[in-house]
Amino acid sequence: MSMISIKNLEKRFGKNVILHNVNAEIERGEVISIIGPSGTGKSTLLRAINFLDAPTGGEVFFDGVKLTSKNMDSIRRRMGMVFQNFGLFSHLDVMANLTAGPVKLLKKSKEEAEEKAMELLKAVGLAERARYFPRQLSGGQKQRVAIARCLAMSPEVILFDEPTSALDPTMVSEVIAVMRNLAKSGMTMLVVTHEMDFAREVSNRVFYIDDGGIYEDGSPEQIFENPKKPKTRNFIYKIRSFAYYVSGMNFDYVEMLSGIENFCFRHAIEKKSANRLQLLAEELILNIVAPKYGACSLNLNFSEKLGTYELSISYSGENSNALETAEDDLSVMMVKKSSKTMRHEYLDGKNIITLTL
Amino acid sequence: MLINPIPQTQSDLISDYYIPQRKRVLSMKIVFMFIITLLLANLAVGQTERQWSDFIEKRIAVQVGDNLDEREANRIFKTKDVVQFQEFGEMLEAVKLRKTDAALKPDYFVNSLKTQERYSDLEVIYIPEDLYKIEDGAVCRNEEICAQFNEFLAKIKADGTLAEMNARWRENETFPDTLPKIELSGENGTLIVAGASGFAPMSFLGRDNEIVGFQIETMQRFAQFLGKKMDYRDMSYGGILLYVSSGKADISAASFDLTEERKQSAIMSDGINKLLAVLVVKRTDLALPTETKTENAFITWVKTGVERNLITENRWKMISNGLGVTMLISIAAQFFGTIFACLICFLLLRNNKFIRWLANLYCGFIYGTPAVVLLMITYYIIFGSVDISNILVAIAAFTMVNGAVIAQNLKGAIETIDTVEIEAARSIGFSSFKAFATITLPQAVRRALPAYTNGFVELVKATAIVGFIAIQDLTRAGDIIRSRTYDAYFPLIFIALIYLIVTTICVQLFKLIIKKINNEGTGQ
Repeated sequence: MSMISIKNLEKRFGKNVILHNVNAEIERGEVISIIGPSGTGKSTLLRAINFLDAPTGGEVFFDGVKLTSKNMDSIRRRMGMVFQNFGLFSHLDVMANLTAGPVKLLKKSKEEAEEKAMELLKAVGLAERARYFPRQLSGGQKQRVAIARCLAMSPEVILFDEPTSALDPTMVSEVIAVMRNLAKSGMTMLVVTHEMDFAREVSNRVFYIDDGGIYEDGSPEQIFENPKKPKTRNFIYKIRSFAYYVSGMNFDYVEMLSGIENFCFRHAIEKKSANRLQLLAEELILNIVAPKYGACSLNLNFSEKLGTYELSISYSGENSNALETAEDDLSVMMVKKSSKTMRHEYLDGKNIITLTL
Repeated sequence: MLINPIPQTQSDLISDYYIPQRKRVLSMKIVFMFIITLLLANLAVGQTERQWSDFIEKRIAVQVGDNLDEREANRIFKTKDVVQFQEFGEMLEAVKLRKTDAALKPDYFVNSLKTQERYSDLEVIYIPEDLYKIEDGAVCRNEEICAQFNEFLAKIKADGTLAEMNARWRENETFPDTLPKIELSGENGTLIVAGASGFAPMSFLGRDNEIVGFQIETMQRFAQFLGKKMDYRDMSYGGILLYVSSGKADISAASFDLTEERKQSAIMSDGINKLLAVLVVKRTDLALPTETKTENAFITWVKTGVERNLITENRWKMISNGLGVTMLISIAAQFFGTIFACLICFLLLRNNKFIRWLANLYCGFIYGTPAVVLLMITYYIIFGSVDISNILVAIAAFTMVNGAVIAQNLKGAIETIDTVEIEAARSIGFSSFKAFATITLPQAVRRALPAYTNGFVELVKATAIVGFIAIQDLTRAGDIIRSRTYDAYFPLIFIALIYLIVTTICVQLFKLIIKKINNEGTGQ
């Protein structure tokens, strides 16, 4: 039996559907990184799992028990959560932050709770800060205390909601180190993160969230080395796009060229490459595609991650490769020479020529 | 009015001579001489016997509730400049300080005024009797008491008791400071009398801190006439009419002038004595006061002040009792107000819009209404028909006020608590109530405490209005002592000092508590 199983989960705020039809089985010991663009519902998914924002549809099971708002108080003792903004109790010192839960909820004696708290503080490297107040700690220290506070309840799974997003870059590594140790110890973790290195190296499963659900689910190798779906690919390769619609032979090609120039400038693409892209687009459209097929559209993709460019032209009509049927051999030769690979596809009555540079 | 306006012809003179420089100087001299002559003439007039008509179109002070009211002053003195006072003593001070030119009043106090060194710079001018009509009487709870009182009046007028009383209190420059022994059997119950001790010899603080005077003796004799005991309740003059009309007392000791309007709403008895109208004015034949106040004079002032206002007849006991009452009301109202505030705050934080609206409406009502009005509403409307101690009523009123203030303060503090902390507590497994109790509340209390301290200080000061419902608190104790000693400033300053000391001590105590609480949370 899975530890957490999510069935047809739906979460909406008013009319705004954030997540729908989410299904997942999470096993004990899995370290799952939840990645994806902002605003796609990564944090919402975590908060729906532990009912901080109760789901509006579907079911979540924990150890075979269906979660409801009523049984959540006791389930949450076994399901820790670490927040982006720490959420340390500011009127209590570090030690009291760690013992509040065990003493008040697990009815442990104060001595026992403090002994365990001290061990945990040692483990996260903050034993000597036990009597400090949260306001006296740095961001990284606060987050480590927050993790220790979670562990004080001996949870079976910990949900991390962007644990390093609010941190100074210099403090990210100290928190990541603690999480890495935790993962090694076999703790089940769900981590919403923007730290791709963490997702790649520490986790053993990755959820890519997009389109209101788990868009792609796989091992880190699969997601990072060989993403299958286009949005995942765009995200992983940090792909930036530019699109332009060409209405026919007499289109405003100055506008298109200055559009490409602006796009290159925005993404800090060097002048030389920008000129090549402009030239290529001009040749392809003016001399090869437009004279024969009329209207077409241009798509320019740039991967920040890989530093590669992809230029594609699509036009409707019968299945025919414009590069092969073109009359202007000189232009075709130029295009072929300046691109690394060339591909022609025919999909749904549309020809697509893709060039990579 | 010392400098008369220059007659029109005279000012024309100036313009005629204006152009040649030398002639102009000459003409200015003439004008100056003219003005000085006028001044001297005016002073000469001032030193002769002044008449009521000298005060036509001047600023006249009247007392609220007198027959000689604003309208009468307007009529007799053809002036729009009329100032209304609640207390007679304040009127006299205003005349002394030349804030007003004259005070218009019936004449019953004239003898006692002459005996007071403090008022030696004031004099009395009688107004011709054909100019006004004074009718006064006691306000009665109902017609029956009124009839009885009129019967009683007729009796004492006939058998010479009234003449005897007048001789005792009103006709000589000296008068006793205790009442004659009057046996009250009390076989027919108790006569509740409302009065405002303010000015000798009508009613004032006598020996052994007892309220005595002509009006008190009259009421004691009336109680004897009825075969009842007397329960005298002292309050601000302005509160008496409502107190009796609402049935809280049977009759007023203070006499009220009988106006047409009053006859409609209040039941008033016949007049007790024939009264004459007088003006109290500042003497003009006095030498200008010489500013010779040295440190010595200040020490003497303090010494005599302490002697007269505090030590004589153990008057400090009134102050300490008053302080006790003030603190009792304040502390009780703060305590119950805090409990009440928790309830309101609970409602303010509900999700139900209607409940929130109700709670906000209540707070808005309290915020938007003066405390003294709320006190009166509590006393006369909410507890109008319930016979409970006035102090309890004051505590209830201030609990209502304070509850709203503290509730808003606490709500504000709760709303500032970081929601992430509450979510973090929930995520560990705290129920929403436990999270509120262990995380939100302790922090909110810390944040609310400074404003809570200020609120208490405000409350201590705000209780100074309880004199309106016949409670002798610190402020009222000072007023009563003033009515006895005629010392206008010393009791005021002394009482201000006590308020200051008490509030300072309270603030320091709260600070200690805040410090203690802020040191908690170390888990040790």
